[in-house]
Amino acid sequence: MKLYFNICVLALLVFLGIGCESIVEIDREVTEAKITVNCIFESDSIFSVIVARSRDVIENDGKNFYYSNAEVKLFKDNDFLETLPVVTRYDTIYEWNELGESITPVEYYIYNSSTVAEIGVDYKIEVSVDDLPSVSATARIPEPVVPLESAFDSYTVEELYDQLYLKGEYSIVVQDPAGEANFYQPKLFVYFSDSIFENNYDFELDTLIWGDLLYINEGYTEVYRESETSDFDLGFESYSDVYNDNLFDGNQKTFNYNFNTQYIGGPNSFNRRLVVELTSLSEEYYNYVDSRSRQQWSEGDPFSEPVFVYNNIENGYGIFAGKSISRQEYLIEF
Amino acid sequence: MKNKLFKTIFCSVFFLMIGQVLTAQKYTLSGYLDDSVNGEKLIGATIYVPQLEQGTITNTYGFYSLSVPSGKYNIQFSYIGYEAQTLEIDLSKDIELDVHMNPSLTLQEVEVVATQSEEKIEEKSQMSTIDVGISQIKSLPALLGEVDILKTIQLLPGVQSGTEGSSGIYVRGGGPDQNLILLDGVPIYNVSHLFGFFSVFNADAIRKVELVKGGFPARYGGQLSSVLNINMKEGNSKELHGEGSIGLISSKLTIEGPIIKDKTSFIISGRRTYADLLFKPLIKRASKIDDSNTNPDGSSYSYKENTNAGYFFYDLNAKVNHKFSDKDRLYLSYYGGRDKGGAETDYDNEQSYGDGLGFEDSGSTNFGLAWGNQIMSLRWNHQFSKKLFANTTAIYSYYDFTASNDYEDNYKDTYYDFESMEIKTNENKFSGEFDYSSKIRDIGLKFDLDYVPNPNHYIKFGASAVKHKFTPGVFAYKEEDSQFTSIDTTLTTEPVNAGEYYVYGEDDFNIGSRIKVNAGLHASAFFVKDTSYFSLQPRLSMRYMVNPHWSVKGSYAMMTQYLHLLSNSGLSLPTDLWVPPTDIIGPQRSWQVALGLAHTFKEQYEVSVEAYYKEMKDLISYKEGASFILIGESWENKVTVGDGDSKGIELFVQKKKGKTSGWLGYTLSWTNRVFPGGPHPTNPEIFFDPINFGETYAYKYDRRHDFSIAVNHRFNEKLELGVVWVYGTGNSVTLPASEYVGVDEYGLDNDYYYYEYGDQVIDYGNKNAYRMRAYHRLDIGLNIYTKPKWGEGRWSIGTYNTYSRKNPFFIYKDSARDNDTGEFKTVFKQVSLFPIIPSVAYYFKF
Repeated sequence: MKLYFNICVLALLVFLGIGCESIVEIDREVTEAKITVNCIFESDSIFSVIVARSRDVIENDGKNFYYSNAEVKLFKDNDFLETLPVVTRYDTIYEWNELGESITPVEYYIYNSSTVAEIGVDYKIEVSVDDLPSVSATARIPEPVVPLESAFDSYTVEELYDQLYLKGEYSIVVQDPAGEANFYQPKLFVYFSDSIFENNYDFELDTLIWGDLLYINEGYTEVYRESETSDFDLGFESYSDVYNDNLFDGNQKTFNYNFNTQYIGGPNSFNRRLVVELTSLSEEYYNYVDSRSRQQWSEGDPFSEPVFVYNNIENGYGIFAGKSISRQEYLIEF
Repeated sequence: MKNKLFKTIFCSVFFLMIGQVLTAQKYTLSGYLDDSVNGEKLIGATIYVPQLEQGTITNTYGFYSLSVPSGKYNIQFSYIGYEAQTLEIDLSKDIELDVHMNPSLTLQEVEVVATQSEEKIEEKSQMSTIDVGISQIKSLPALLGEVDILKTIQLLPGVQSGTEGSSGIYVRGGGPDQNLILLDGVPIYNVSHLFGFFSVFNADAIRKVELVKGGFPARYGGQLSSVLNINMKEGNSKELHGEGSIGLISSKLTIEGPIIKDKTSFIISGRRTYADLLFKPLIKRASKIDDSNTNPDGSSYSYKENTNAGYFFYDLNAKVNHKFSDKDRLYLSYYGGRDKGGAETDYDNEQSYGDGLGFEDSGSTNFGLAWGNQIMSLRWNHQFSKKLFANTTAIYSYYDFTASNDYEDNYKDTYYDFESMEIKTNENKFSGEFDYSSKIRDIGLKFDLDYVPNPNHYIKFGASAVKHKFTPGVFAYKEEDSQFTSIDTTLTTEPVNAGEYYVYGEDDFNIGSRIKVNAGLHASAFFVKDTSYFSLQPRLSMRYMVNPHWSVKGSYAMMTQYLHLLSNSGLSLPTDLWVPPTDIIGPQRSWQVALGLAHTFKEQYEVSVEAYYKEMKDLISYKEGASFILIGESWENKVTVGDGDSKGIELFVQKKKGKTSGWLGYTLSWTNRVFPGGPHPTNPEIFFDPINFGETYAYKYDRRHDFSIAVNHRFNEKLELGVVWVYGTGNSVTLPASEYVGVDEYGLDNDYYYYEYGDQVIDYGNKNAYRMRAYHRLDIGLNIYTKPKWGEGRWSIGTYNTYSRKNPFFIYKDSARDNDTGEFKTVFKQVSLFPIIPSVAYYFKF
C-alpha cells in the first residue's frame, strides 16, 4: 500500500511537474523605425521641436536617439515660413559609482523657430531626416477660455513645526462655448521663494543658530484636485486631469480644489502666490495627454487593457499640437 | 422595412398554425418511454405511424402525445441503442401507454452510440443544435484522465476554446458570459474548477447534453450566444447500482437506485480531487525552515518556519424523484461544488545579542480562497390531459467567492536604554484581517407547458420569474495594534436586488409534408432599482425537405441578455463578477440568421453545413487602461459599450453508431468588435470612451480556421480506441511594437529628466493585431474493458497533447542570453502549459 502511495505521488509529481510551463521564443516582424516629432506650442511663444527615432521594442539599446541633422520646415496656412535651426542642449545624467556621484552631460537637440505662434492659424510641420520616410502634421492653437469666477479670499495660513501651510478652497468656474468641442486642463499652483542657506549651518532643536544665505529658491508645488469619483479612487480617472466638454457642452463647469495642508515654504519664504492656470487644449493634445496618462498609469498591471496612445504625425510618431493658457495670480497674504 | 417584413411573415405563420389547431379532431395516444432496465426516461425517442407518415418525439421528461384519427395502427417506438418496438393499437378512444424499451444487446456489446436522439437531423425544424452522447464524452481521451463535458463541447463546430487547457466556450463569436448553461433547468454562474482547467460537471451524473448555437426556440432566453442544456440522471428505479472512477487527480463515486421500486429513485454522485492530500506533506517538508546558529561571543540566532498549503475541489450531485401517479411526478435536484485553496505559515524568529539583549518575533499568516456554486431545483411534472403536459420548477442558484488573509505578529525587543541606563523591554502585538467576497443568488419559478393537439403541432408555452440578488464586492480590512491606532473598515458595493421575467410561446408545426416550422416569441423584462428594460424577441426556424434525405434549413433569432460578466483576465477566474444592467449600462442584444443543409446517408452519417451571421449590440468591455480590480469604485466607470459581429460557415459530419463513431467539425469564421465611443443614447451626462480609436478590431477569439476530429473505435468487447485532433488559428493578442519618445503635459523643458532613457510611449499598432501560433493537439486514449465478478471495469490509458506541441498560453516580453554573443537581448516569450500529459484512470460499474 505504501509502495502504491509512493508511486502515485511520484506519478503526480512527474505529470504535473513537466506539465507546468515551457517557454519558447516567438518570431515576430521587427517594426521599422519612424521619425518621432514632438512639439506643443502656445500663443506668443516660439515653436520648439524635438526630432527623435522610434525603435522596435526588442532593440537592445534602450537609449533614445535624437537627430541633430533633421530638416524641420514650418508652414502657416500652407505657406512656407522657415526651416528651423537646431540648438544643442545638454542634459545631466547622474551615475552612481563607488566614489560617489558623477555627472555626465548628454547632448540633445531642439529645433527652435523664430516665428511666434498665433491663435486661430493652421500650422504645418514637415520633418525629414536620413533615409526615413518624411513626416508631417497640422495643428492650431485653440481659443483660450477665461475662468468666469476667480475669487480667492477664504484661506488661512497655519504654521506647523516652523513650516507654513495654506488651507482653503478654490473653484475654477468655466463657461463652456456651446456647439464646439472644447478641452480643458485646469491647474492650480502655489509658488513661493525661500531662503536657502549654505551647508555650514547648525541647528539647535528647531532654531537656526547661524548660516550664510546661499541663494533664493523659487519653488512651486501643484495643488492636486480631489477625485470626482470616490474618496478611495485607485483608478486613472483622477490622474490626467484633462476634460472634454462632452458632458457640459455650452454649460458652466466647476473644478473644485480643496487644500488643507498645502506647503508654502518656511518662515523665511516670501513672494507667496497662488497661480490659476486654465489651459485650453486642442483636440489632438487632449487625446494625446488623456491616452498617454492612461498608458503610464496602467503600466505594469498584467490585467489591465492595453492603451493606444493618440498620434497625429503622419507616417511617424509623436504629437504636434497647440494649447492656450489663461493664467491668474493671487498673492497669499496673512 | 426588415421588421415589417418579419412581422408579416410571423403573423401569417401564426394564424396558419392556429387554424390547423382548431380544425383538428382526433384520439390521443400518450404516455412515457423509459429504459426497461433502469427506468431512465428516454428523451427525443420517436413515435411514428407509418400509415399516416406522422409521428412525434418524447420531451425532456420522456412524455409523448400523439393525436391521430381513429383507426388501427402499427405504431413504431424507436430510440438509438434500443430495440425498436412496433405495437398494434386500435385508437377508438384516448389511450395512455407507457413503453419500456429494451437496450439492444448486440449494440451494447461492441458498438458505441454517439448520440441518442432518434429524430434525423434533416427532419428537425431546429438547426444549429447538437446532442452529444454522454457515452461518447466518457470514452474520448481527456486531460489528466478527467472527463470534461465542456472540453468535449469545445470540439464541436462553431465553438471555440479559450486559452490552452481552459474549459471556457466561445460560441459563434460570443463571449464566455453569453452561454446559458442550465443544469436541470437551473442556470450555473461559474462552471469552472481550478481556474478554468476543469468544468463543474461530473459526467457520471449526467444523462444528456444539448448545445444550441442559433435558431433558439422561444423557450430559451437570457443569454446571447448559446444554450447548453444539461440534464442529470434520474436514478435507477429498478435496482441499486453504482459506478465510479479512480484517477490521477480525482476520484468519483455514484450510487443510484430505487427507494420504492418503480416509484421513487435516487442518484447521488460525488467527486473530489486529492492532490492536496498527497502534496501537503511534501509541501510541508519542502518549505520547512529550521535555521539556528550560536556564536562564541554568546549571541545566537534561530529562525523556524512551517508552511501548509493545499488546494482541492469537490462536486456533489444528488437527485430524488417520485412518481405520485401516472400524472404527477416530482424531482428534487441538487448540485454543490466548491474550490478551496490556501496557505498557512507560522514563523518564529529569535535573536540574542548576549547580556540578555535581543528580540523575539513570532506570528502567522493565513491566506485562503474559496468559491463555488450551489443550485437546487424542485420540479413537478403534471399531466393535465392527454395533450397537455406541464412542468413547474422552483429554482435556487447561489455562487460566492471569498478571499481572506489573516496575519498576526508578536514582537518583543529587549534593549539597553542609554538614558535610564537600564535594560528595557518593548512588546508589540498586531494582527490584521483582510476579507473580500462577492455573491450572486437567484430564486425563481418557471412554468412550462407542452401542448400536442395533433401530430402537426407541438406547442410549448410558459413563463418564468427570477429574483436576483447581486453583491458584487465587499472588502473588509481590520487591523489591531497594541501601540498604534487600530483600523476597522468595510468598503462595500451595496447589494442589488433585481427581477427578471419572461413569457414565451412556440409551435413546432408542419406545413404540408415538406415544410416544418418552429415559430415563437420570447418576451422578457428586467427590473433593477428604478430602471426597467423590456424586450420582444421573435424566433423562427424552418426546414424544407428537398427529398427524404436532404433538407434546407433557415433560422432567425433575436436575443437579449440582461446580465453582464466583468472579466478581463482571459482566464476563468473566480473573481469574475456578474452584474445587472443599470440605468447607464443596458442589456446586450443580438440577432442571428443562419442557413444550412442537413443530410443523412447510410442511416449512420449525418452531415450539416451552416452559414451564419450574428450582430451583437451594447456589449461591454473594460476601457483602455482599466483593470478588473474593483475596490470602492463603480464598475460602470471602468467599462465602455460597443458592438460586435460574427460570420462563418460550419461543417459537421457525425457518425452516430457502429464500431466506429465520432465526428468531424470545421469552422471558417470572422469575429470583430468595435467600440466607437460616444454619448449615452438617453443620458446626456454619460459619455462612453472608444477603444482602438473607435476602429474595428478582431476579437481575441476570432479564429479563422477551427478543425476538430473526435473518433472512437471499438475493436472488440475489451478494447476501444479514442482519438481527438484539434487545430485552431491562433488567438489575436495585442503586443507592443515600437517605443518612441514622449512629451509630458508640461512641455519639452520639463522632460529633461528623461532624455537619455525614459519617458517612452509604447505603440501597439492595432488592437489584437498579432496572431499567436496556431493551436493543435492530438489526444489518444485506450479503453480496456474488464468483467470482474461484481460488475464492469474499464482501464483508461491516454495521452493529452501526444506530440507535445507547445501551444501558446500567453506571451510576454523578457530578456534572454544570446548564445553567440553571451549578451542579454530583449525577446518575446511564449508560455505553454501542457506538453505531453499521460494519464491513467480506472472506471467501474456495479
